Amino acid sequence: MKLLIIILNKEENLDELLEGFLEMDIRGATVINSKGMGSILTSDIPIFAGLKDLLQGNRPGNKTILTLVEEDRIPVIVNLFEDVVGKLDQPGNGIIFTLPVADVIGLGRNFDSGRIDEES
Amino acid sequence: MKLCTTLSEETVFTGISAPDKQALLREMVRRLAAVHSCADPEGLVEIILEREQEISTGIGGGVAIPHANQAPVTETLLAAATLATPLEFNAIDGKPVKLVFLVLTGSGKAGLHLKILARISRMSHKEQLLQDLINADSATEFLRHLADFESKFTDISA
Repeated sequence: MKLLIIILNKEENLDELLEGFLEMDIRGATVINSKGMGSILTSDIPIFAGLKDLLQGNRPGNKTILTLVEEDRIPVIVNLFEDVVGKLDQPGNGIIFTLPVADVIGLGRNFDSGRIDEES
Repeated sequence: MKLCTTLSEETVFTGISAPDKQALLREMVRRLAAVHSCADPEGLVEIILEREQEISTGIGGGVAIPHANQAPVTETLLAAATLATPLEFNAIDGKPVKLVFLVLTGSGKAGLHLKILARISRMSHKEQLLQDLINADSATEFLRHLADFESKFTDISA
């Protein structure tokens, strides 16, 4: 299992991305309001205010999405992201990275399948 | 499954006319029941209307997804309709509805139900697709646009 982290710069695509998660049976994710370094520097430190174009991520904010997924789902999620948001090799769309997970405590039952329970 | 393969020319109704939301849903269920066996079409209508009373399924952008999970159906039933005259639906954006997807799933199909709703909701972000569907002159054309859109999507797993 991996912790998958998405930094989504185009916040307007969040709903569609999460709808795509649901279609893929990913039933849980945590979404955090976040802010990129470039945004903070250009808004908080006057000397950088005019240099937005030189710094990555000049949007006012972004979203950080955390979810636990089986490794085989990662390419599918990357495809979903690129379909909804845009290519990851293009600047300004976002970043996806994963981390190995040692222990998971507190997830609901049936996570092994990583899929939505077929229950009423 | 995909929407475009679960729907058929018999369950896509283009240019439908109805005086109000209730009449529209009743007519869609009537037509659906003429194609698929439904034990109690009027009971289905009541369930769908009950759901509508909780909160409107008009999701904005002229699209509505009336639906019922745990409906008394033996198979997943979908129908779609485009409206000759846009209909007041108490949608979240207050705009009248032009495109309706009716989704009925039976007991034990909660996951599938959610995934179908998610796909339709994703579709609702695609302006051009919505226009193409709304403007389709026939069920064949409607399904062709839907199939084009879904060609890059994987099947919705049951």
